[in-house]
Amino acid sequence: MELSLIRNIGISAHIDSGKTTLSERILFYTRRIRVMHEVKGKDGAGATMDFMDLERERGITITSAATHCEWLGHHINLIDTPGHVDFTIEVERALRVLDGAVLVLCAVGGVQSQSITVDRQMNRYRVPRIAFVNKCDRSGASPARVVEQLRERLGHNAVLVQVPIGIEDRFEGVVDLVRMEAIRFEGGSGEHVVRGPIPEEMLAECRARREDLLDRASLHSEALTDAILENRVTEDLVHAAIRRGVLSRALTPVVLGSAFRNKGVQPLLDAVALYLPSPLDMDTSALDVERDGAEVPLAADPEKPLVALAFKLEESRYGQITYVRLYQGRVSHGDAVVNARTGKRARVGRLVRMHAHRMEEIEGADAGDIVALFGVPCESGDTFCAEGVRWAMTSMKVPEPVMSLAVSPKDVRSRDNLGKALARFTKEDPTFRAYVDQESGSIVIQGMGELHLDIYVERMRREYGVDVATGAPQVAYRETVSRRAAFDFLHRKQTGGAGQFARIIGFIEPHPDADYEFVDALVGQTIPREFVSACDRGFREATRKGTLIGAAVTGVRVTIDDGAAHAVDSSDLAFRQAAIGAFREAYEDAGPVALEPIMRVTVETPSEYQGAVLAGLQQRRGTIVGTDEDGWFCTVEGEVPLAEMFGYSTALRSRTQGKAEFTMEFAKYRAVPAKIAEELRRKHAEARRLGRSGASGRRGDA
Amino acid sequence: MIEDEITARSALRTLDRRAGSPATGGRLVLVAARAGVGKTALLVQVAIDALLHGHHVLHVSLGETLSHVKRWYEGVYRDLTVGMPADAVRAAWERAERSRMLMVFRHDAFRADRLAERMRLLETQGVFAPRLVVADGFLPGHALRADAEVLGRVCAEKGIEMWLAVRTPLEIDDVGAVVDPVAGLFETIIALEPQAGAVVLREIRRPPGVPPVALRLDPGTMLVTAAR
Repeated sequence: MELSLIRNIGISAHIDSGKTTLSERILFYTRRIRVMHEVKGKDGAGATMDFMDLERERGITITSAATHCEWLGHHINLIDTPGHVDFTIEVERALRVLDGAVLVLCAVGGVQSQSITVDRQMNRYRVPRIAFVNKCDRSGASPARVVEQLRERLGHNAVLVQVPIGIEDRFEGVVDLVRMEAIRFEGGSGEHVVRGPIPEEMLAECRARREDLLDRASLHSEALTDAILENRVTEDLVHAAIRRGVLSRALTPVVLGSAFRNKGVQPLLDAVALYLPSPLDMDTSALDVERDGAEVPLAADPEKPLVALAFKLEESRYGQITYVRLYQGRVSHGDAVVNARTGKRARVGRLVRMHAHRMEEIEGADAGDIVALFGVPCESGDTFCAEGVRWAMTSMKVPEPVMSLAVSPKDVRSRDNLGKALARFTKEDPTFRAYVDQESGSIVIQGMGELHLDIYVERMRREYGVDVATGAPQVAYRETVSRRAAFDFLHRKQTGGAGQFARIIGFIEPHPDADYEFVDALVGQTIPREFVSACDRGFREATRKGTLIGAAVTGVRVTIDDGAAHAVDSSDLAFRQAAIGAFREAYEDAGPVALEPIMRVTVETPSEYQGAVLAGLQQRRGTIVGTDEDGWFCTVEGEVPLAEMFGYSTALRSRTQGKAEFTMEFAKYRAVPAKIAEELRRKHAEARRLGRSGASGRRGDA
Repeated sequence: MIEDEITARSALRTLDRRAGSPATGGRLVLVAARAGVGKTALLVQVAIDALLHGHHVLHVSLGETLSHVKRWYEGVYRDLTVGMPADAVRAAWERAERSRMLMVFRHDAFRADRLAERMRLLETQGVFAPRLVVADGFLPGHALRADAEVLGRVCAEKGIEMWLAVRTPLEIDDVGAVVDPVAGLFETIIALEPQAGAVVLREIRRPPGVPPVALRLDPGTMLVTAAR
């Protein structure tokens, strides 16, 4: 496969901008599917890429499945990116493997808060993009306004490469400003693209728009600038200039259409082929695990050693499917590969190209491609290499879960299957975690927000038949230390038989850049080498639950510099116990502080409700970062403790007559105000008291 | 306090009185310069100085995005705190940042009376009441006069200090002539003028009895420094 013809692209969009319908149409016109459905289709079939029942029901897409199609000789791997920020990790993982993206915007709603969040993520991963303004047939559609918003709100140098022919219910097609032709879509499903002359009455507008396009494109090409001056502009020159602008992320060409009305999708595919990058256009590098993470540049060359990133796992009836993006080298059926994280070897079973839920078996794949593998055990985010190298793709930023929910199975069958469901979900999604709370004995799941956890509770029921009762969602608080405190702890037990003896001396201190660090500053053999790792384990265990409010302790560095051991009575166990004791001893003196997750909340509202929105955030202990007004609409950005965000969507709706919407994403952890910290402390003490009696009660039952 | 250490370094101290202690009587300052000379850099330094002194600051920007303005603050703060202990610097910023509110307007969506209205609303709802307002991105002309009149009244009424920055046309060398029609509305007018590789702060107008300053913007960092 010619590398320059590969396009690994994502479609990223606001939740209601019609992304799923667009994906469906793309698969239809590229002949991957024979029939089209609508999202929440009346025929009950749903769109092809949206294959999970649940997503079908809620009309949203959660899983980033990859699918392959072909257009004008180009191989397009379409990575479906989810549209809700509660699933940020899914978006981020998909963005990591993309070379380019189509930003879908609604011609009526324009750039909404969700688009702003997604755009910010795309900037982080330097993804070049083109924009598709969808729903041009809707009442109130205004592509020009959307272009304006792309410039003003997202800072894109956006430029129309098409002009709509008619708008709203009279939307017929588009004028291609590069070729200066009208394009209409005929046949039962718009499959016949008919090019013709521009309607007379539109000529003046189209000429003016073309001028603007040439002006903006020529900034990226001297050849085009010269050609304009000499009046010999060719189609190829314009395309080449736009492409250069896109690759440097300095230009965003905008195409138009209505996926639902089968208009404008084929020219969008042309734009993907013409303007978005191939794997050759993108610089990538990996980290050499064996050389302390030194950076190694990669080349999309099949002859070099394999480096492939597992960006998505799925369970299927044939076992685990691992979606990989090949950055370098080649992988074939039967090859041995090494997991860079674990160093373990595995043999590649089957290789397939995915089409939503159907698959096509292939013999091998080259650098630049995206395929799925069977039979390679791994976790999401792992890197596979050829034998002999151990390079990891830059580690993906995995946000810490900020919300937790206690779940308990309702019946025996549910109890049996719950473990299976949780094991799979935690493997697929690193932001989803599950653990058994030692004190209460209940199972706790953690994730990025209420909706995120809701979805998993639903999936347990649908996919595993697990019915659970859920508690109230809880905010994931943390603890940290605010000053250095020393410890000198002796653990000694004499209970007949072998005794236990361990003494540890050192200090703990704040360490804002990491969750936990252990420093071995021992001189000589006061603590024998073989027990040092037991100390580390003990400290680590102690940080799992702080004594202040019972939350995990983070941002702490433990240093041991002295101690003592006994020739007979010292053991791993004794040193681990001593470490736990030492930590608790020092912790009280180290000024422990409770931390809470703070969310970055972005509210989009008509300007008239600005005051109500600001006051609402303020009431929730929020700080207002800023407001952005463009006349009718206003964007308010604030930072609000997650604990105060319960029920916000309802409150916002009622304050603004349903005209405002909001998104939130995790921003940082910050110290809890004294009054609330006191309350958390009291609750923790209470729970511990009850927890103990509760635990004994359960034992009594058994 | 690290805050004192950071502000003590700043040459803003000598820029007549107390950039960090906004005048209580309310006053209006105009900064005038061509594009790219350092208006925003100066305004952000004045704002950071006031924030570090514990005051609430409203930053108004015309024609910019929120993230753009935030980056200005991050950049200037980083330059101001070079060589200081990172933890303390970060903690100080976390405290200071919460006293700052940003308000950006698209050029055609801005009117001074709308800003005045917003400020009144924020105050009555107990959301935000600034001691200092810095407002960036004004253009010379009729609108500036009308805006300055409205904002001057707000300053006097609320006893807050306000700094406006106006962008003068590239083709006109004499900044003084551009701002002359509105000069009477401001207590202080500072022109930023590129001279021999640096930008000099020239006071076109200053309150009676205040000695002139000799300051410039460092060409590398755009931080205010004493002129040699």
